[in-house]
Amino acid sequence: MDVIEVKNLMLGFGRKKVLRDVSFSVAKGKVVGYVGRNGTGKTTTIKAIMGLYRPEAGEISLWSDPKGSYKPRIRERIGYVPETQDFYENISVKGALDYISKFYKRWDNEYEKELLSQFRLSPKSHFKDLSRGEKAKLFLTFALAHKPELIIMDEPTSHLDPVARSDFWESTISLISETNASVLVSTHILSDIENIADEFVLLSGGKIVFQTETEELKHSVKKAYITEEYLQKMTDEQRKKIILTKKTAKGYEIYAKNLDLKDCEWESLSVEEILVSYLKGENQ
Amino acid sequence: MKLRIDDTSPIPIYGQIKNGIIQMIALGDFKENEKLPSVRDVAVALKVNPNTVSRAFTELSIEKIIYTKRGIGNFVKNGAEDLCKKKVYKRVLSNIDQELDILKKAGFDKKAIEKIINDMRSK
Repeated sequence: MDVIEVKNLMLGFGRKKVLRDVSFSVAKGKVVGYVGRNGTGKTTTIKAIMGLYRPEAGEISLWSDPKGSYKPRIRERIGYVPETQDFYENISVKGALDYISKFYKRWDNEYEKELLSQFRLSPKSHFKDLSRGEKAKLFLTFALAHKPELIIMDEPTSHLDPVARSDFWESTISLISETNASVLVSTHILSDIENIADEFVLLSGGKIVFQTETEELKHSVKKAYITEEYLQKMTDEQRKKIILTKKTAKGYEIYAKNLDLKDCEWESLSVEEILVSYLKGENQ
Repeated sequence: MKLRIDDTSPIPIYGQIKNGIIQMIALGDFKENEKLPSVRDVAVALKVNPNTVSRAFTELSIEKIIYTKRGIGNFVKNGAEDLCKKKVYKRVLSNIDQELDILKKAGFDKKAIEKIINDMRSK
């Protein structure tokens, strides 16, 4: 079953069209990475899913309910980590948690304490005195302490140092191991999620380039070195499968999907290398 | 934990976890009937998806290397150590084979390669 289903979503601000045609889904229990360059509309998509922006066209369903984004009873099942993490400056950590907890019937006080101690956050600290990393951890506590069935995170670790990033993912993985929650996470720090995401959705130019299982992606997209002659001899059919071509001193480095070439040694790539090759290849 | 993930390896992550556990059993890091770390502990330690770890455990159990006690955890099966040693032996041989292939391509003949192996042995 799909927990999130986005169909032909279109959304813009004034004359500026941000999302032209966005369709993807998050199945139950899956971790989906939503990736793309800065300013391509990842945050806009996520805010639309959270009911904060109204689509111009298209449909967003949560648990098969097309009005789910606007229903408190459904939003209560979601843990949301927004991109901008603002709160009342003078409130204490404990005060903030008490406030947020009122929105969730299933808030787990014991788990809240556990998360605070894992994150080394003092309940007495004031929000305004928290570092960016501590703010991110507090917002993760907001999102996780009610043990949500769906976790939606928007660039959650982009301002964090490596230690804070590591803590952040450890807590998230620990919870999804326990609850089998579904996760949608947008990020441009691909190395963070390349081993966590079951699937990747790539957004570019307001459209979805693909939604693919991580394993399938790593299996199908590879890199090879070929000579100029070799490249000239390729058929159009074969060339279509090339994602990115880079000139090297002795010929070309090509990134291609499911391209079967004789006498070619294909190298495996990391997810990060694959996604970057798609994004760079679009400009060619 | 001794397990490590190589992001650029052609071996999928569940396969790398599986191979790592097999190697640890072969080297006696986990003894027969010893409890393995939980899916959650492995997932958190390696920062990988818990589903991936579960898949590695499922395959190990199909290959009769581990067994599951419901609600308690996964344990190393009797006889698993020998089985794992054989698997590690096979894998090391195939790795050596691949490395030797590079030498063959570089023009080293059979004699030269035999000499390398003999030199290594006498070390």
